[in-house]
Formats: sequence, structure tokens, C-alpha cells
Amino acid sequence: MGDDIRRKLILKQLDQANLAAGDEGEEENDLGELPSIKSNSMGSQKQSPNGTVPAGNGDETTWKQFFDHNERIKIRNRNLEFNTYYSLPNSINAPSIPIFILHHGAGSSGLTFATLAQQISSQLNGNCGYFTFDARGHGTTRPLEPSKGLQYDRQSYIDDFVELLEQFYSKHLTQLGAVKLSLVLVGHSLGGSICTFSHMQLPEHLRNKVLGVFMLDIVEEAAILALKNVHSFLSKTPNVFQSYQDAIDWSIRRGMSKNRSSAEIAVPACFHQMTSGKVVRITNLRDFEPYWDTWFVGLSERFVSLPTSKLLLLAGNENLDKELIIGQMQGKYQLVVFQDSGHFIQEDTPVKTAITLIDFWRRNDSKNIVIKTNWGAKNFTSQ
Amino acid sequence: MDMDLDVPMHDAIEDQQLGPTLDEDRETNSADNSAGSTNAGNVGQTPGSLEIDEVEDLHDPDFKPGSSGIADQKSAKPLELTNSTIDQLDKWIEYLSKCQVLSEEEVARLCKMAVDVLQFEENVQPINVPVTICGDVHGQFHDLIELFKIGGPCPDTNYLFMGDYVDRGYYSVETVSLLVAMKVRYPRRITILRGNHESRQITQVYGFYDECLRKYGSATVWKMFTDLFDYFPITALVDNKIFCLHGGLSPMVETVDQVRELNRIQEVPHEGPMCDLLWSDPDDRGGWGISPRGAGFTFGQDISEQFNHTNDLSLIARAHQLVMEGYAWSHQQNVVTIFSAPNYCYRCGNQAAIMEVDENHNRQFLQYEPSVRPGEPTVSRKTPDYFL
Amino acid sequence: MATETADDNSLYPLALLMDELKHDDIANRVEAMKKLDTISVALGPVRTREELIPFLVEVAQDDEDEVFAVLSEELGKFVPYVGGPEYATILLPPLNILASTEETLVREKAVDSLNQIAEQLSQEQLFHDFIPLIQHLADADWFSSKVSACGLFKAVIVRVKDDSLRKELLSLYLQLIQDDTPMVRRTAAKNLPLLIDLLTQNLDLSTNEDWDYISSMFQKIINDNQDSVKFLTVNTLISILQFFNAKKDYSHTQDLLESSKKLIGDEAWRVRYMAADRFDDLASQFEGHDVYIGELVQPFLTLCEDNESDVRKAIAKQLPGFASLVKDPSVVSNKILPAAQSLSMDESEIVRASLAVTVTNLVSLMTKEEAIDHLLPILLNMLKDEFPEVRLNIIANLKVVNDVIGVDLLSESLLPAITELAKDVNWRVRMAIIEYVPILAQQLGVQFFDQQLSDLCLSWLWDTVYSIREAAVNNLKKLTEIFGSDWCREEIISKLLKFDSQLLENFVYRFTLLAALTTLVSVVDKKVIAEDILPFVSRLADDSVPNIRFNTAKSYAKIVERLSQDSNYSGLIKHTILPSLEKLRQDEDFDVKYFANQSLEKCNITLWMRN
Repeated sequence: MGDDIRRKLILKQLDQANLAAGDEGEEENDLGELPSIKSNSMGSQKQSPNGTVPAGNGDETTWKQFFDHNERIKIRNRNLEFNTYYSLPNSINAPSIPIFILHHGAGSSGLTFATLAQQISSQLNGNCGYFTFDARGHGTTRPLEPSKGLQYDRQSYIDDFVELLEQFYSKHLTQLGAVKLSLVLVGHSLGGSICTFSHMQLPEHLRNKVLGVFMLDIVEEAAILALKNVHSFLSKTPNVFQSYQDAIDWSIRRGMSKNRSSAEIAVPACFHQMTSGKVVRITNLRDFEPYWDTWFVGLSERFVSLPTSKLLLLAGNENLDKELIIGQMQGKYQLVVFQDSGHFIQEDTPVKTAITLIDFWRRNDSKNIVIKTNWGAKNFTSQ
Repeated sequence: MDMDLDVPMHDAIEDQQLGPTLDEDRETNSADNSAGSTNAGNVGQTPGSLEIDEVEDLHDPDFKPGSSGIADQKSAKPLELTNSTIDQLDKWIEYLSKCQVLSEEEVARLCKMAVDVLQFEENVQPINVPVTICGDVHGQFHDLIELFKIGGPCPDTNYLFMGDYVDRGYYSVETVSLLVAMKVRYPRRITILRGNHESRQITQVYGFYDECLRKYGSATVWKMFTDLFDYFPITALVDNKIFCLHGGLSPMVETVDQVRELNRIQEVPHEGPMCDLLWSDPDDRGGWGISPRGAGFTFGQDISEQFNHTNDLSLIARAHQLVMEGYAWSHQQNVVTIFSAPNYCYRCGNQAAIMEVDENHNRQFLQYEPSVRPGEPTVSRKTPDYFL
Repeated sequence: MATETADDNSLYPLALLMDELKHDDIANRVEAMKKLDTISVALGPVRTREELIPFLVEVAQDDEDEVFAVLSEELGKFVPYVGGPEYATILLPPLNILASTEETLVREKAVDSLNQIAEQLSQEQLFHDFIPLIQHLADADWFSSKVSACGLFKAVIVRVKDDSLRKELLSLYLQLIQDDTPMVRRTAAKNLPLLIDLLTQNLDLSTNEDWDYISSMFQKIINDNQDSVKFLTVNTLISILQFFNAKKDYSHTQDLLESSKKLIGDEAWRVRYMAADRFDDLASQFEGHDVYIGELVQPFLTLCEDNESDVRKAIAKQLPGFASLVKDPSVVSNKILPAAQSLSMDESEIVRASLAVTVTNLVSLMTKEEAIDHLLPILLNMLKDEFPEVRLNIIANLKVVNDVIGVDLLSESLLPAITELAKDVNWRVRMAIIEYVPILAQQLGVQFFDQQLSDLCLSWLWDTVYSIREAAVNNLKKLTEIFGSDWCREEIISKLLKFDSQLLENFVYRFTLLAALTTLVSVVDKKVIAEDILPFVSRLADDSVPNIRFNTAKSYAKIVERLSQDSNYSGLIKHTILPSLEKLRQDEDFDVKYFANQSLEKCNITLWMRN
């Protein structure tokens, strides 16, 4: 094969990589900083991480670009110290204020929602709040007494979620005057399952505040099928990289992340840096294997029948299972598909996801919506 | 050797890169990016409130309505069939009935003729009894053929289809081509209304776009059909008594006359009366409600009763929702839902139905199962590489 | 792009392909692969060999299975693109890689392509390149390569004229037959009958030594500890028997019979199923050896009583076939008929339906008295089966029974069976029984039909399903062809015309009547048309429903076609039909006008030809 063609190809790939990295700042906008395309081997030659890459866990300069607060919450009866992030509304002058409660999926961390949260906030001019955290077994959430051991079944995640939400609500939201507030539960992947199943388990005063459940790229049938392939998937997924930058590059090269800005914040949060400088993946999904069968079972049926507003946002192709198809064709929930996104929708397409999320809130917010009708003199009340 | 990397791609590849793509990074960093002016290429189930047109214009002018050119030379009066066009149409219908596709050039001719038939139909197309009323078909071609076996062939039986011919099934091209060919050949014997899936946005997500690409190698046929969809009538009125439409009622449409005033020749809008007519659902709760679908509204029995009373109607017949028996009454027989795709998506296990209305306004429902067919494509789905 | 040189342009196809092959979307890569032939034509044979093929070798190692599958298939067509058979061996390396992949579909396509290419290779190329490829795959560590190797022997086994080389190949095959991996053994066992059949087609090619190998292979498979390998022995056994029968060499027949019995009685139900499913083919290899056939009777009966319903279902179909091989009539009536009897009452409906397909054929093996005494009760019982398919299968195959014993003996059970099926909720079952009615009518005779079936036939006209009404109309035509015009007038048309007017208020009924009468035009006497049919049709020319009016117009053309044959009716045509058609031509409805014009044109042509 002609070298010219190969060169063309490589240059084209470089060009694409360049585009992807395009607007990150002056010093990065330089071919020298780009990942090697020719060599597929890990960590051949890497730049030392510059300012945008966190040097260690919870590096304050990083999360601060996206959230106002990073708070560690100890919950004794759950034997956990949770790493949480949140921002509160700028003011409470708006007629209605949404609070987005975000639950990440297995193997990810709360910072997967960083760029999405930033987008929501900027689109609503700060007239909103959001809360996210590292779930058990993820990020920097730690057991208080490691010797006691932790369960990773769905119910444990749900109990954590409900407890954290209650604490967050009573601590930060009640003082804002709860009348204007509504909660939107947003879960990615496993987080979607947890949000859906948590809804009925929330105490009534909280459930009444929930405006809807928003699931990101999770379909029960597909997820259960995917679990069968997790081993082969994990075997192709390295757990150690030479640096955070390497981990980010790998994630982008493999198409796991399609958006560099999001990957810069979300990927490092899944790794722990060793003294050698190497980074090691925090969450080993294999450890959760005994609990996999609890995670998704019954999800589609429950989601469809949930007595609240619902939206399912899928990436790639529409791949609903039977329950979801019937539910959709009976008009039980809203379905949106982003064909250009990967599984991590909130990272890959934060702008569109934020628009969709805000639109979902607006549409279903009884505080906002009055149904206009031109039907005669008789007035119909909206439901 | 020239280092220019801008290697031209041929059509199929170019067309795969849909107009509504958004460079998230660039968007994120653009300075004047306020919520109001952000346009995302939202191609979900619902038209939503995201204006995608601007993005389309920016990225691919070909995605503009009308770009297929099928309506460039519209006639000032309805199409008059000559013997040679009748022969041509009869041949196409025979061919299409065997589940074979027309060539791109033939589709172009068919769509041009169809524009000159459909543009003269009314927003509320008047229809006489007897007529057989049918719901969603969704590309399940063999089940459409089964429908004709149950209800009788066109033109011997008069048909009214209430939309959703494309998407989800594997034969959207064949299904819509056949129905349109029948419409042009027998405009008085068959009426085809517009469903919410007869739209540029929706067909990009639920299969018709991909199917056109797969079967023709380019999006030209998709453009022609979606341009044609803009001309489909949106409602029909059977003998002034049965109001037929795909979705349901709108809080902005109190009388049938108000439907007549709409400008329907456009892409299905994201909101407003035309959107509602194609998206709304009846509901057990009274009054108007926000639709869980994200578009249109839900309406209660009080609404249906008043609409039927105001307009001197006996029934609202609509499709849009999957019902396990193929048809379902609601609002104390003020509304009937008809769904004509058995075992929807080849997996839902539902029956299908059609409703025959005879010249004395007697109604009879005919239910049916999926047709028996050899070599049904197996529904195999690739397992995603979820990182859960 | 404006600055591109000619050289660049000629590179364009390959660059384009490569671009697409790197596309993120797998669908694009698959599409690109499908256009491989176009690209190679554009490149020409030299550059295809020198640039494209090496590139594809790389691709074959780094992509998704969907892409590999297309590549595997495409390469099979590539011989002309690389410059003809003399260069064909250049295609072997990429296919070698693809034939070693893990995905079954990819391997299968690669093997198919290799076989296609092999057909075009010379002896020399086979020897130097292809056989080493087989050896390479067969000797690989990984099972996938070995599985692929199994599928390639058929391309060479009879093209190798050198005895020692063939022996070498068979020895290699024997090695695959006893591989550690069941998957390899299974594929080898599956392909073995193909190899034997090739040797049968080239009867004088193989040597005794070859057959020593084949015999060893057979022994290995029949003793394999995996059912999924062992059950493939049945086909191998049949192929071996065919070879020796073709050779007229019966020295092994006794041994092979023992092997057959061993397989039929195997512990594993899958093996027994295979033996049952191919029982006729197997038994017929022993035809002419009555003793051997006799020895198969008991094993056959054992299969009929097998615990597994799938086995019984398979053997139920073989019953008449095997019975015809058994020359002793007492065995048929004392052994095989009782087996049929018990299968006809099997607990599984699938078994009964399977038996119903062929069981009637037993009638040709017995005398009329035997059939009445022993077979008839079985058939009558099956006509009452609760499962529609059993009844339908019997009715569909009644003709042979009628030929021997006359169907009247069946009628008592037949009628309730038909009536039940005629009311089935599944319209396809109703359809099936309508289609048998003309056959039954022929066999039952007119008197019986009028008493028992004519009302049923008329009732189908009012079915809710259009296709049933249409079939009912055609049924009347077929019955008229059997019983004649007078019968039709008295038993059908008079009844049709007497339907009460209330019924006719429904357009569907008027439409069906019009269709029925129009269809009968071609089979009744002209007098009946003129006196009974035409007046009814003419009335419908003023119908309020346009669909009726244009079908009236169509009906006129058919009537004119018949009546114009007799000049007595020319006045009727001229004064009744043509004016009515003229009026329809002026109809307000486009379709009525169109079909009236069409009919008028046809009428004029018909009349012109008669004059």
C-alpha cells in the first residue's frame, strides 16, 4: 500500500482529533500535545498533565468549575462517607425552580454529570439546583468501617439514594422555601434503575416534590444482555494507565468518550493515582458480579407504570424492549434518541441533554404550565 | 502529492452524516450560547420544543422541506389520469404488492403525481360510506397484505388509513409506496391521512430513513416521501358523522371548521393545533392534560363529548396507540382507537383490527393476527457495550 | 481538491475505501466492503493484487465481525479481479485469516469462498497452495481453524488423482474426526457424508485403503461420547450404504445393518430422532434383502413407542414408506397398523398431525376389506381430533382412501369434522376446508352434497373475512363445474336470488352476490345467464355505492363474452346491456366511468370478433 495514502489517513485522523480537542485552550491546541495515532500501545510517550487534569483526588480546581460545593456526608447507619457535589439556585426569585438529582451508573462517578450540570446552570441562568454524588463502590465515597463489608445490590443503592436525598433536602432545600421547588430524578444507566425504583420508596413529602424521572440510556433487556458480555468487555478494558491523560486519551480513542471537555473531568474521577504517577481504576465491575442480577430486573415495567412524568433518553439506535415499546406506543412516557451520542450521553452531548432535561421540566411543571384553549366560554381545568 | 485531506465522499456517506449534528465542544465554548438561542439536533420521539430547522439549514441545506423537488412543478388542478398513467400505476401496484421496491426514478414520478392528488385534498377530507377504517401499519408490509385479505382489495373496498405507514417494521418503503400508488390510482377509493411518523424528524430515528438509505443507497427517496408527507390530509370526516385522525383533539381546535383553517402543508410542527391532532391521546382523567409523550395533550371524556356535540358527530376514530385487541373504545363510545399492526415490532403480541362502516353506519370490527410468512426477518439486536 | 493530480485521482478509489473502512459507524464499513468489487475493477488487476489485497489482509485482522463477514463473501468472487485463476492463490492468505476467526458466520463465508476459488484452481495450484492451506488450518491449535478445515476437503477429495495424496488427506480428516474439541468433531462428522457421496459419484476412484480410513472414521463417530456428534452417524451410514449398493458390493451389508440397529436403539434421544427422521432412506438401502428389512421391523415399532414425542413425530411420517418396503402383508396388518393406531391416539398433537400427513397412504398396501376393517376406524377417529391440523391433514389426503374404499364410508365422521372446521375461529382453517370441498363433492356425489353440504357452502358467502367470501365464490364455480349448470340453477342461483331484501341492504352482501353470480357466468348455460343472472346484475347498475356500480360494469363484459356466442341474445345485448354500460360511462364517479369504458371497449371487441 502506498505510503501517501497511509499518511493521508493518519493526517486526517489527526485532524479529527485536533477538532475534538479544538477549543480547550491555547496551549493544548498544538499537534505536539495530541495522542499518538500510529502507536496503539499504552503510555508510549505522554505529556505531564497540565492544569486541566486533576493531579489527585478531589483536586479543588477541577470540580469547582462545575459545582459550588463538594461536601463529604457521613451516614453512620449506612456505614458510608459519601462524596457529594451540589449547587443551589442563585436566587429564588424565579416562579419555579428545578432541582436536578443526578445518579451515575456502574463504574462511573458523580463527576460524569459535571459538564451537564454546568450546561443546565448556564441555560437557566443559575435559577436551578443540582446534586450528585459518588455511589458506594465508586469515586471517593468510602465505607466508614471497611471491615464490615458492603453490599452492592439495587436495594442498597436505593437506600443510599433516598437517605442522601432526604438529608440534602432538609439541610439545603427547605430553607429556600419549598413551594417553588420541584425535584427531577436523573439517572444514567444503573442510576436510571435506581431513580426509577427509588420513586416509590421516597417519603411522601419528598415524592410529592418529584416532578419526574429522567433515565439516560438504559433498557432492561439490553442491559441484561450486556451483563452477559461484561467479562469480555472488561478483559479489553485496561485498569492501569501511565497517567490521567493516558486514561482520558484511551477513553476517547476507544469511543467511550466522544467529548474531550467532559472526559477531562469525568474520566480522572474514576481513577486513583499511585505514588508512581500511574493511575488505577477505582471500581472493578467484576466485584459487583454477585449483585448484577438485582440491578435491572423489572425496570421497564416499573418505569412505564411509574405515576409521574417520565422521559427515556437513548443513545445511538432505538433499542426498546417489549415492555418499553408497548409503553411508548400507548403514550406512557416520552422517548428521545440522540443518534450521535455514545452510552455516556451526559458527557458526550451535554448541551442537547441539558436542553432536553430543561424542556422536560418546563413541560411537566404545573407551576409553569397553563394549558391554553380557545374552546368557547367554558373553561377546562388542567389536570 | 497534494496533502488536502478533504477527500470527497460519495452520496451515501455524506447522507449518513445527518444534518442535525452538533459539535458539542464548539457549542459549549461559544460565548453567546444562552438557552434561548441554542439549537440542538433533537431527533427524538417527540417533536419537542427544540427548533432544529436552523441547525439543519446550517449543516445541510438538502434537509430543507421541498429539496427533493417533487413539488417544484405543482399542477394548478388535480391530476387527471390518462390511460397510460393508469397502466403505469397498475403495473407499479402489481409489482409493489409482491413486496418489491420501485426504482428511485419511479418513486420520483409517483410522488410528483401524488402531490397533484394530495394538494387538492382538504384538511378535513370528506368521505362517504361504506368505508373500512384502519390504524397504524408501521412498515409491516405482510400484515398490510393480510389486512387487504381480511377487508377486501382496493378498489372494491373503500379504505381510510389514519397514518403511521412507516418506521419500526422492516418494509416501510414497500408499505408507503404501495399505499401512495393506490392513492394516486384510486383517489376516491382510498384516503391516507398523516400520522406523527410521517415526519422528517421521527423517521430519522425510527427506521424509515435508514431503510431508504439501505434500499436505495442514498437519502433521495426518503426526501421525496417526507416532502410528500407534507401534503397528506390530517383529518377526514366520514359522512359528517365520524371524525377520523391519527392522534386526537387539540385545545386549540373546538370545531371541525377550525381544522379547515390550518395550513397543513409543512413539517409536523412541535406544538400547536396540527401537532396536537397528530399526537394527542384520550385519557381517563377529565379535561386537558399534559401528554406523557412530550407532545400533544391528553383529553378527557368531557372534552370528547363536547367536541362530538358541538360538531354533531357520532364518533371520533383515531389510531396512534397500541391496543392489545386491535381496537378499543373509550369515553363511553365517543372515541375508538384502531391499531392495524399485529404483533407490533414483531414482538408485542397484540392483535390488529380494522373497522368496517357500512352504508347504514353499522360498524363491524375485524380482528386479525400476524400473517403467516416464510422467512420472517429475525429480530436480532446487537448487544451494546454498556459500561453500566 | 482543485490541485489534485491525475495520480491522485487514480488513487481515489482506494483512498475512499480506506476512509470508509475507518468510519466510526460499522454500517458504513460494511457498506464499503460490499463495494469492494467496484473498487477492484477501478484499480485493475495489477493494483488489486499489489495494493488492495495486502490492505485487505490488514483489515482482516482488525475490524468487527460484520465487516469480516462481508469481506469473506466478497473475496469468493474475486478471481477475475486479480487477473484470473493463475493469480487466484493470492486470495488464499486473507481467507486463511478469516477462516480462523471466532465468529461462525465469518468462517462459514470464508470456507464457501475458498471452495469457490478452489474450483478455479489448477491441479498444480491445489497441490502447492490449497492443500497446504487445508493442512495448515487442520494443524492449528485453535478449534476455529480446524472447523474451517473440515469444510474444505470436499473441494479437493476427488480432484486428487494421486492415491497417496488422497490417503494423506483422509488420514488428516481422520485426525479431525477424533479431535479433542466436540465442535471440530461435529463439523467433521457433518461433512463426511458429502465426501462419501463424492466418492460414490466417482465410483472407481477410491481404493480399499481409502475405505479403511472411512471405516475408522465411521467407528469413531458412532462411538463418540457426545450425542451431538454421534447423531450425525445416521447420514454417514446412509452414504456408506449408497456407495456399496452402487458398487453392488454387499459384503458389508450385514455389519451396516447391525450399526443401523445400534443407532435406532441408542440411549440418546437425539440419535434416535435422527434415525427416525431418516428411517425410510435408511431402510430403503436394504431393499431387496427381505430378511434384513424384516430385522428392522421391531426397531421400527420401538421408535413408534419412543418416550420422546419428537422421535414419535419423526417416525409417524415414515409409516407408509417403511410399510411399502415390508413385503409381508401380515406384518403390515398385525404390526404396523396397530402402531398407526396407537400413534393416532398419541398424547402429543404434533405427533398426530404428523401421522395424519401420510397415514392415508397405507390404504394402497392393503385390500379393501382390510382397509375398511383396520385403517378406516383410525381415520374416522382422527377426523374427530380436537386439533384442527390433524383433521385438515386427513381431509387433504382422503383421495387415496376414496380410490380404494369410497369416501361414503367416511361420511358419518367426515361431516361433523367439516362443520367444525368450517366454524373455526382461525380464518385460514376455514379457508383450508373450503379448498377441499370440491374434492369432497366429487367423491361424495351430488345427492349427498345437496343434503349435507350445500347450505354450508352458501353460508361461507357471508363470512366476515373477505378472503373466505372470495373462496366461497370460487367454490361455487368449481362445484358447478362438477355438478353442472342445471344443478347450479336449482341449488345455488335460485337460493342466492331468494335472499331477503334486508340482507341486501348491506353493501358487502350485494357485492358478494354480484361476485358470485358474475363468477358463475363462465360455467352456467346462457339461458341461466339471460334469465336469472342478468336481471339481477342490471338492477345493481343503479346501486347507490359506486364500488357496486363499477363491478356491475365489469360483470357486463363477462356476460357479453358468453351471450355473444349465441345470436339469439344479440338483441338483449344491444337493448339492455350496452345502454346500461353507456349510462355508467356517464356516471359521476371516475372509477365507474373508467371501468364502464373498459367494459364497453371489451364488449365492442367481442362483438366485432363475433361478426
